[in-house]
Amino acid sequence: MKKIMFFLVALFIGVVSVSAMTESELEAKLTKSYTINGSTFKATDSQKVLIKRYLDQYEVSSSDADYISGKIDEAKNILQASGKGSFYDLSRADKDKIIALCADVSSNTSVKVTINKGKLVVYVPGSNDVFYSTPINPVNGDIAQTNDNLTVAIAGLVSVLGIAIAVRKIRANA
Amino acid sequence: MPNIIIRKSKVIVKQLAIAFFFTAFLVFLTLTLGKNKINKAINLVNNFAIIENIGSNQDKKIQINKVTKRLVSYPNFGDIWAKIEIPSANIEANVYHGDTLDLLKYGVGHHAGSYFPGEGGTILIAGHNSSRDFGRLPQAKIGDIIKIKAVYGTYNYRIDEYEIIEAKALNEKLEINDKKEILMVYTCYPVDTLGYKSKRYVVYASLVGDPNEE
Repeated sequence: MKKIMFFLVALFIGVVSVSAMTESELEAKLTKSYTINGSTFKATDSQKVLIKRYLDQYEVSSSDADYISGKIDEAKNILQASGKGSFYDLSRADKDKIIALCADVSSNTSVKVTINKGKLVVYVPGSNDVFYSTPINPVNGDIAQTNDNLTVAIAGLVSVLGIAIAVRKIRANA
Repeated sequence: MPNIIIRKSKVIVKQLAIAFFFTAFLVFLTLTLGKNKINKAINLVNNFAIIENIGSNQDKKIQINKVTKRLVSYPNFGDIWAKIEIPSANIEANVYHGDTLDLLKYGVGHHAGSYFPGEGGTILIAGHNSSRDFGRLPQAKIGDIIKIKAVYGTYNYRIDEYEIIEAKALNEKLEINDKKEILMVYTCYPVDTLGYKSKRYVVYASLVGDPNEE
């Protein structure tokens, strides 16, 4: 009986240690490029800086990293199943599903991100301080990215979430 | 009865037209004759605001780790963390963390996804082309110094070159990496004009000397 228990515990630990994702693995997942339905999505250099800065500064537990990773996969699957190569082209229902993934991450992990009133905001964990914010042009209450590449955003990197969602073409405002 | 209304309307329109032209003439005169004085007044107000706001991050103890070349903690998005000075162009402005249009209303913005002074990477700072911000940027010449007075130290950069590029080309031109510490400062071009401009005036500067760290 003891042997069986030991085996089960060892198996459990083994499974956990195999599946647990580290911050660096999460960073790699967030910054790699994805090709979905013929379109390639990848984080920009500045998004990569933000993702690294976030992960260097704030601890994301293995379980949170796993959860986020799972949500990224869900987002990819939604896009994949839609047959579309751009967030713009998704149906209202699919867009809502992807946006809901952000809310899921925010509710269930230490990564707090909101999409509200045309702004995407990533908060410093455990406070109301803002880590990053970016305008998202609302079109009929929808999220519209101004840069195709960034469709990423939503699609792939539902992640640190807002960070990758990041978005508007940078540096066009001066 | 309709004639009275028409007559009164004509009078009102005439008075409005006179008032409009008179106001336009006054604005024109003020801008033409008092431009320098207006700029001085704006700078004065800016300087006052800079003194008022520069300390907003100080309780966060923003410092740089010299070994890792990374800040120990970063300013919050939307906070002022530095003052930029370009003496040869008479520019002095607060630097906010972030360069959204909301923030550029108040001063110049540091692109959140770019590096900070001392981190050894690309630092990207944008400002409107008004005289309050970077409207006089083209007055700065190659060899001139740009000072970034951050809450954790003062960094000097010497202007290496400048160029005018299409706004669409910004993302390709202003590559962000940590291979070399380069300060890129840009604004809409032509300067001192209203409305959307399709060109950007970009100044590139390299770090010179040791920073005066605090």
